[in-house]
Amino acid sequence: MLRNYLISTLRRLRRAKGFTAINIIGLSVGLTGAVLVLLLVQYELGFDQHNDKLDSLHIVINRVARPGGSDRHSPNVPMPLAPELLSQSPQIVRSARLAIGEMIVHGDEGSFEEGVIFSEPDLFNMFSFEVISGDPAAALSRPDGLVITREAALKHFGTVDLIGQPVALTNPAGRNEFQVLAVVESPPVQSTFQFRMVLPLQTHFAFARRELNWNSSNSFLLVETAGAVGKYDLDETFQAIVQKNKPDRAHVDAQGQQPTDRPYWNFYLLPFEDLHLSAQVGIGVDPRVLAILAAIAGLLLTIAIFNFVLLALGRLKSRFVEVGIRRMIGASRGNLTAMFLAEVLVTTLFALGLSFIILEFSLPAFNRLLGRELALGAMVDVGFWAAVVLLISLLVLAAGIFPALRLASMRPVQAMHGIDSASRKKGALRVGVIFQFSLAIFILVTALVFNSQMKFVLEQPLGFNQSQIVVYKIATEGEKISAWSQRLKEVLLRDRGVRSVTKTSVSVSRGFDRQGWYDRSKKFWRAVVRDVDESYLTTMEISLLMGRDFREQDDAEVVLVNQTFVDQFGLENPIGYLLDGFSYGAGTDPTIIGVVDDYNFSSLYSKVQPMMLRKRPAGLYSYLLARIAPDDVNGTLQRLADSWKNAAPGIPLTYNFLDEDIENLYVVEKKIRAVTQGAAILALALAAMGLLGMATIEVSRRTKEIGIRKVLGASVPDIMSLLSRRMVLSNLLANIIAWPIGWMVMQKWLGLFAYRIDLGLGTFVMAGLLALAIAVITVSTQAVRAATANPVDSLRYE
Amino acid sequence: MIKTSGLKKLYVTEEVETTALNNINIEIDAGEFVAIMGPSGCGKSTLLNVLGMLDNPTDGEYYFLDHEVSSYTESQRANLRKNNLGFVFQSFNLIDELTVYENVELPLLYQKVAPAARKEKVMAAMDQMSMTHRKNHFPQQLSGGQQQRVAVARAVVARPKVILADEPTGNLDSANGDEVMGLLADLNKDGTTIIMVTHAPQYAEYSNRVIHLLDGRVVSEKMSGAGRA
Ligand SMILES: Nc1ncnc2c1ncn2[C@@H]1O[C@H](COP(=O)(O)OP(=O)(O)O)[C@@H](O)[C@H]1O
Ligand SMILES: [Mg+2]
Repeated sequence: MLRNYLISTLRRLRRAKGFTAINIIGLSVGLTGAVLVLLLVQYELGFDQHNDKLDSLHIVINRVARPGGSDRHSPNVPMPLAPELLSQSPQIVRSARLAIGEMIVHGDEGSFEEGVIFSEPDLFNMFSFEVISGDPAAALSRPDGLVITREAALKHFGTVDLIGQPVALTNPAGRNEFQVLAVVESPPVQSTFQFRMVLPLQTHFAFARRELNWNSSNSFLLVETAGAVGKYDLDETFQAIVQKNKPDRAHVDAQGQQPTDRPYWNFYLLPFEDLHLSAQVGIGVDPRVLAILAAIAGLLLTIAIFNFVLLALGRLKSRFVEVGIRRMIGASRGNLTAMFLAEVLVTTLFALGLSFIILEFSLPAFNRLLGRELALGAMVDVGFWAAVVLLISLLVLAAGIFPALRLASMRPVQAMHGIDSASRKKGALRVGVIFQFSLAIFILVTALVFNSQMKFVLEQPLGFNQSQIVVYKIATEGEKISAWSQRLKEVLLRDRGVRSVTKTSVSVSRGFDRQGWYDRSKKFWRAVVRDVDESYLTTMEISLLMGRDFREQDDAEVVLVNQTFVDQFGLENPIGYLLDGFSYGAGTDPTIIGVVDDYNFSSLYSKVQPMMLRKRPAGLYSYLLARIAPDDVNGTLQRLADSWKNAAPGIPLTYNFLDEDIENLYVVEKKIRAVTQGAAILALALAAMGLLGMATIEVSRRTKEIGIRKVLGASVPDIMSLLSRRMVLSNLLANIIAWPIGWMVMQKWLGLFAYRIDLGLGTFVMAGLLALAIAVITVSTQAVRAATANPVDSLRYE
Repeated sequence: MIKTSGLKKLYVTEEVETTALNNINIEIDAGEFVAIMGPSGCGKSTLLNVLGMLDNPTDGEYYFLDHEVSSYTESQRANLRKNNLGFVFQSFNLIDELTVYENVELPLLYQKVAPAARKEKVMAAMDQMSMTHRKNHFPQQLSGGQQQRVAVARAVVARPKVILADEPTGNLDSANGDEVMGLLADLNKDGTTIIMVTHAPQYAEYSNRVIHLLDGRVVSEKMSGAGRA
């Protein structure tokens, strides 16, 4: 029996080559997407699993209550929380604080900037990292100990044989000698912590300031618990600690108000295992991105399934005689259902095979795009195969059950004579085509909106001229930055290709460097504060609305603010306004001398914040922004690189264009855009293939009618319009379904942006027209054939 | 009106090459009623299809109203067809999804006849075939004879110069067959040229000339029935 099914299935698949190809290609594209998402989900779930003690590891998260919006879940907590927690709670066995920073490494191969983490000895007693030599925990308990990874060791010293090796490192606090006391393997790719060097926490340049400061949340706190401890088990302990230390910011929000009747700070223990996929904390991967990818794969699969079902239903008629004979010689309905499902299974297995071939070739590209290391070989385990089997079963049922039941419900005698008892019920088929169109239009709408929003964001006037600005980073000790920034500014200015140069503390960022202060009347102020110099406005081409720009002799006693600052704090006469309280009594409070137009200094997800520009003689001017002439950019960059190396051999040369930095704020969006565009094209191609199949069926079903009409005088265009009419109608109906859904989904997504496009009718009309064009083109290829054929050829088929 | 010289039709399939028509030279004048006879497979339908411009000959010349049409494209042929020819088939070839009225109306639609004139012509043709009372029925709801009457009504509605009929009585019992033949004879009396394929000698009697085919060749042309009189 099985053999019989198999042979007749294979023959049938071979005979209907075109339909088989459409089905196999469609299903394999959908399956490729689905398997890829499976691999990705498995990969993300595998994060941090290499830690032996994972079950008892937690990270302390601060849930910051916000009056209007949703609470913020921040992994950054004050440093003094750790010792308090250890002493108050017996369930906490160990802890390690961790801060992230940068250091310049003076190695055998020259000076390079390196991202490092600062932490405490127990980090290595809690988390499992592979040690090559030395004792990392011991290294971190000495003030000059250094843990280095194999990769970094090879880069800077060409060997891993480094125990006892002195290493000079420079950070903003100065240059210091360290000693390599442990060499470890680089953390696995599926580790949340990625580092190349680990230094003792107390060597962080701001440690002294932060160690006892409850007002600065700047480090992570990792803890190991004794046994199972629930997320909120320590709630009372935490609240008691907060009460006892009464940190200013634990009770007030940006406006100095108690925001809610809940406490402002709410610490809890997040299992470390959950950190990577926590959307709230946002350190690892946002599960919503996985959901988007899964939705895309699901969409592709749905289209493929629809193709399958529609083509199967459309061709049922060709099988009535066969079904009639089978039923006459004793096949039960169950037999026939099973026979058809077996056919679907064979097709699906072919598709699965093809999708593994596609995956094998496309995985490297996906990995590059997603920044992952997915692989078919190493990653597939029993769970993966179980998921694949489940997927295939669902697929076979979804694609096969409807046609199978239709086929099996044929009455034998009618079937024998090729009479479709349900031939007047073409409803399912029509609805299917309409649905298929709706999907295609929905996908088009999403892709078009995504595209124009990203274009809009990237081309949004930022309030300054971002092009032709090169950002140079000055990485050196803090006390030298001021001098070096001035010196290098002069060096750059000397070049004929440089128009102007300004010193600043931050180039662009997603986050804010905000400061808050109380004035005499206990009013709370908060603003982003940036150090700039007198060339900032001219170099960035930011317009001054009121007052005057900085002069060379100005110092920290005068500041510029932006329009939002003026508006938000209700300053009626901003010029000359004394911002009392700003210096907390440790210096002169600044006076506003000018108001600048709002410019966007961070991502366009958020509105412009109140901002203050300062000019301090000893400012932390870590960046030089140089506006260069548009002609011979490469020559200019080369000359500047040479002069930099001559003038400052000890300072690594790192530069990039400001507009690149701004674009980099949207890396994730760009990847999603690439994926959605690719998926949109694939989805449309699949839908078009399905429509082509449908058109072929429609034309062959109506061959005789076409012949008669031609004999009666129908012209070629008459026939074309006859055949396209139904497609056009289905398309129009599909718009009615797809538009509102597309509108709602896109409206929601656009709501995430502070600066966004308006959803116009144009996008929807365009999507509808595009889908229509695709439909008309595919149908036309079939219709032309039917319309230009000899009428006798059509009539003979009766 | 119709003239062929050296007309030839080859069917080439993977296995065999069939010569369906071989050197056909015939001439048919306006107003004639010609019957084509011969055993099954001798090429009658093929000849009728070529004469009706539903198919192109492989070789030879075909003059229709002084147009040499053997190498016309399908759309050129379609144009000539719709203004001059009407067809009746053995299997009626009505469109199942359309009513009797709509079936008959179809040729006029393709000729872009104005609605008022259209209605008049359809009603006249149906009246002539006594089908008016069935105008809102669908083809499946009619008997074979009635269906063929509808087909004839459809063939005549646009007042074609020539009607081509391929075994119009083949699927009908004798009573219905007689009736359809009577209709064709009446049309011929009114001046319509008729070319008809038939197996039945008694129906060949309605014609004025019989062309006998054998293996794709004309073996005889005889004056008959109406022609002899
Ligand atoms: N489309 C075709 N392909 C191949 N052979 C054909 C085709 N149509 C007709 N024939 C062959 O041509 C010959 C004449 O057919 P036809 O004109 O239909 O005969 P009849 O006189 O019965 O109407 C037959 O041998 C038939 O098999
Ligand atoms: Mg025949």
